[in-house]
Amino acid sequence: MPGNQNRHILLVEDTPEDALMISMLLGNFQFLQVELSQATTRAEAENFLKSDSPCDLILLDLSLPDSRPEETLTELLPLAAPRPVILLTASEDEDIALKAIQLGAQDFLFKGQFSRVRLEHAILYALERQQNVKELEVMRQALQLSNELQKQTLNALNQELDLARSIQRSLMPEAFMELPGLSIGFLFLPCGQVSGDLFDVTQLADGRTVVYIIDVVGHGMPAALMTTMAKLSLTKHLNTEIPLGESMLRVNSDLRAVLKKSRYITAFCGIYTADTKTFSYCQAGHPPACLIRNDSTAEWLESGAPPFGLFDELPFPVIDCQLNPGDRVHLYTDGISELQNDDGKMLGNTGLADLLRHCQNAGDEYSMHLLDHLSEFQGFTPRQDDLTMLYFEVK
Amino acid sequence: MIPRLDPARLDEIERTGGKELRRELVATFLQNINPRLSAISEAYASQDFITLARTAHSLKSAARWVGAIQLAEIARELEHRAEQKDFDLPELLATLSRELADTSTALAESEGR
Repeated sequence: MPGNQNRHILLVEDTPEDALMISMLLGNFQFLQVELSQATTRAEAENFLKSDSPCDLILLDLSLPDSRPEETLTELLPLAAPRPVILLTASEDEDIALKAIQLGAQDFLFKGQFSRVRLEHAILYALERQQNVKELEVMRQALQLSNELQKQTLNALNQELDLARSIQRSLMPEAFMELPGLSIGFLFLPCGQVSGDLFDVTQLADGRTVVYIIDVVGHGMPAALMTTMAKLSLTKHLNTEIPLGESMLRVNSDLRAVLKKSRYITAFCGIYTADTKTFSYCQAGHPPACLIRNDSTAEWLESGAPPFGLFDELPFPVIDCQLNPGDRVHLYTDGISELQNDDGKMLGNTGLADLLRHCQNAGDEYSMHLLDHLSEFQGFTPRQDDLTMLYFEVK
Repeated sequence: MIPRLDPARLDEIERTGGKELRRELVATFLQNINPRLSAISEAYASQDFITLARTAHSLKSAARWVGAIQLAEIARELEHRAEQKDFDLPELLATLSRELADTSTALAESEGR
C-alpha cells in the first residue's frame, strides 16, 4: 500500500486512558495519516455510522456504558459493514473476540499488548483486505451480469430454435394418410430441436405418388437448413412428367451448386403407380428401403448411386419393383439401422427386417408399434441420431 | 510479592509518546480514581452487576497502562466475579479501595518527581 494516505478511523472506546493511548498511537503512524473520530457509547457510534461522516475503519471496544459486549457486536457490526472492524479487547476476553471474527470483524488486538507497529499493520491489512473484497464484489457483479447476458442470448437462441423446429416440421406431412391405392405413415423423432432428416409425400396430377426421405450429413441448424434446400429442389424436379433418373440428376446438379463438395446429402426417392402397383425407386447413397412382403418375407430395395452433391455426371439408375396388396415399404435414415442397444450392438439391416416383420398393426397404430419395438431394442442407451422413417402399405 | 507499580510501563510510554503523554495519562488516571470508586460502590449497592463489571473492566485496562499491576489484578477479579453475579464482595471491595489509595499515592510520588 502506498505511504501517507489519509484514513478516517472511528474509535469506539469509553475508557479515557485507552482512548488517550490509542489516539496517541494512531497519531504516530508511519504510513497512514489518521483522521480520528471518537465515540464513547454505542449510541454515539451508531449515530456516527448512520451519518455521512467519512469512516474507513472502526476500532471497537466492546465494553460500553450503554451496551453489553454481545449487544455491541450484534448491533454495531452490521452498521459498520462493509467497513472493516478491529476489536480492541482485554486478553481475558479471547472468546468473545473469536466470536466477533465469526460475526464479521476483521481482526482483534489485546489492549496493552500491541505497539504502534502492530496497530498500524493490523489497520493496513484490514483496509487492504477490504479493498480486495470490494474488487471481488465488483468482479462478481460483472460475472453475474455476463451470465445474465449469456442467459438472455441463450433464451433468444432457444426461441429461434423452437421456431426453426416448428418451421421444419411444417415442411413434412403431419399424420398418417390414406391415398388412392396406399396408406402412408411416418416416424420422426429428432435428437435435437432441428433435424438433418426430412421426408415428404406428394401426389402428382396423373395420380402417381412421390415419396422420398433425405439425410443431410451433420446435425443442428446447418443440416436443417440444407434439408430445406434439398426439399425445394426435390419438389421442383420430382413433381414433373420427366423420368425419375433424370429428375435425380437435376436435383444433384442443384445441390452440387449449394453444397460445394463440403457436404453431401443421401436420399431414397420413389414413385408409386397405383394402377400397376409398381414402385420405381432410386437410391442416392442412402440405406436401402426395406420391403416386407404380405407373406412377411423381407427384401431390400437398392439401386446403387452416390449421394447428392459429390459427383457431376454419374447416372442414377432407376429400378421398378412390382408390389402386391399388403406389401409394406419402409424408407428410413441410418439413425434407425444404426440404433444401438445396451450391449453396444447395432440394430443393423437384419435386425430391422426382423423388427419390421413383427410389426403387425395396421394404419395409424403401425408407427407407435414400430416405436415400441425400437425402444425395446434400444433399452437405456441414449440415442445419438434422429429416428426418421416413412412407410407405406399397398392396398 | 508483586510490586505495586511497574515503572517500565510508563517509561515505555514516554519513549513512544513523550513526557507530555506520560503526564497526561497519569493525570487522567488519577482524576478518574474517585469517579470509578464511586461508580463501583453505587453499582454494588444497587446490585447492578453489569455496570460493576464494566467499570472494573475499564479500571483494569487503565491500571495496566500506568503499570499498576496489583490494582489491575484486583480489578480483573472484580470484573470476573461481577460477571458471575457473585454478591459476596465486601472484602474484595475493601482491598480495591485500599489498593486504589496506595496506587494513587505511589503514582503521585513517582510521577511528581
